[in-house]
Amino acid sequence: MTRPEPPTASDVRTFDDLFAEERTPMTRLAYLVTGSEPIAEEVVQDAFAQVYERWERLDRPGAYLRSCVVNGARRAGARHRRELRLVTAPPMSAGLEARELMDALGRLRPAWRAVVVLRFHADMTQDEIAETLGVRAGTVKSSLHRALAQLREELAP
Amino acid sequence: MNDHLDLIDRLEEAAAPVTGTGVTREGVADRVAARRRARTRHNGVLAAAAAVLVAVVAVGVLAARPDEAPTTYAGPGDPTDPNGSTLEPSTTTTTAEPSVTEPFPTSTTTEPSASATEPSTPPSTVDPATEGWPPQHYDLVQGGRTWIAYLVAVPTAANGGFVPLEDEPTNLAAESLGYEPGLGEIACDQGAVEALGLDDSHGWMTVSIPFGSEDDAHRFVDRFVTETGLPVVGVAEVTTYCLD
Repeated sequence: MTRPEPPTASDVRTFDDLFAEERTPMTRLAYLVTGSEPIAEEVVQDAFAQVYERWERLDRPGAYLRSCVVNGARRAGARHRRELRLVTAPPMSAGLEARELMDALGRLRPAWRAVVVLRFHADMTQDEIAETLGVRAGTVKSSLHRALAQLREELAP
Repeated sequence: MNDHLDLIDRLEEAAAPVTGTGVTREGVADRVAARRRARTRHNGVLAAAAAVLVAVVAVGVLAARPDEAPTTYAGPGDPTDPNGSTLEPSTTTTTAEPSVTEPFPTSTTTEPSASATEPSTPPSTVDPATEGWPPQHYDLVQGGRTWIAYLVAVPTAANGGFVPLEDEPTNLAAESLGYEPGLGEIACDQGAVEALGLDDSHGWMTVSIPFGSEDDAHRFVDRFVTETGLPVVGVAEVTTYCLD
């Protein structure tokens, strides 16, 4: 499945357009990184505020929003890591496999989790992930390798 | 189970019930207002700190010349004020309080200018640039020279070659300030081991932040150590690799 690129300033006319189009996808992205819907909503709300404040200076508001969301989610995930392990539960409407995956994701380091989500949910390349996270492409590659190894071990039948 | 563990479908399924209805325009407006209030408070603190600094310098100067020292400090506004004044922290600001219901921008129909390009890797709730911290340098180049502040260095031999550093207090402290420290092997930063005086008989995992200049790197380290009380390894100009 290929997800569309975040909208650019040329095809998003207003902040309201961006808000309407990206609210749900960004909340889902943040949820997958943090493992918590309430925290994800907090992160996304704050990310939209950051975009709003810089709106006139942004060439790619969609990409900037996504970076804000991912990095905010990483920080929130690190801050709430212990609590999340205790309270996080995937939505009951999610299937068993999805819930197993969320459990396994929750046991990954936050940075690895972000890399996995950006690669397989946001369909980003390793270079794009590196740019978004502000790390080197080599770090993304090794993080992805280690994360998949851990997931493979935990999710193996 | 395929090579990617059906991750695409599983992630899609896991996230599907999340709709984001808790994210509202009003909530965003509240955040904007809160962020501006926080900056206003911060500016007030900075103004007070500046005033204190001026006072300390003035007292120091006058103490060095006791025969010329008046009995009262004239204050930061006008050192020549013959009336003098007591030093009061600045608590006022010219920043207008934004309305919580401030409308969102609605008229961006043209391409922004290229000169106004915002970096695609932002940020954080605390923007180092706006808080007076030196900005992190993101545009690392394979084989390029960069000044890097090394916050943590741990021998790789200590844990079978792999050392988790994400939860290091120093790393978390830097993240909480809005920085995105890099966690990686020092071998990717040629010249770092020598510059930092580390044992080169084994590898090192590091937590580090690149800066655009030597001055920025040292300013960061000085302030980070002062404000967090956490030790750092040092600053080095290195040639960066492992970027391809």
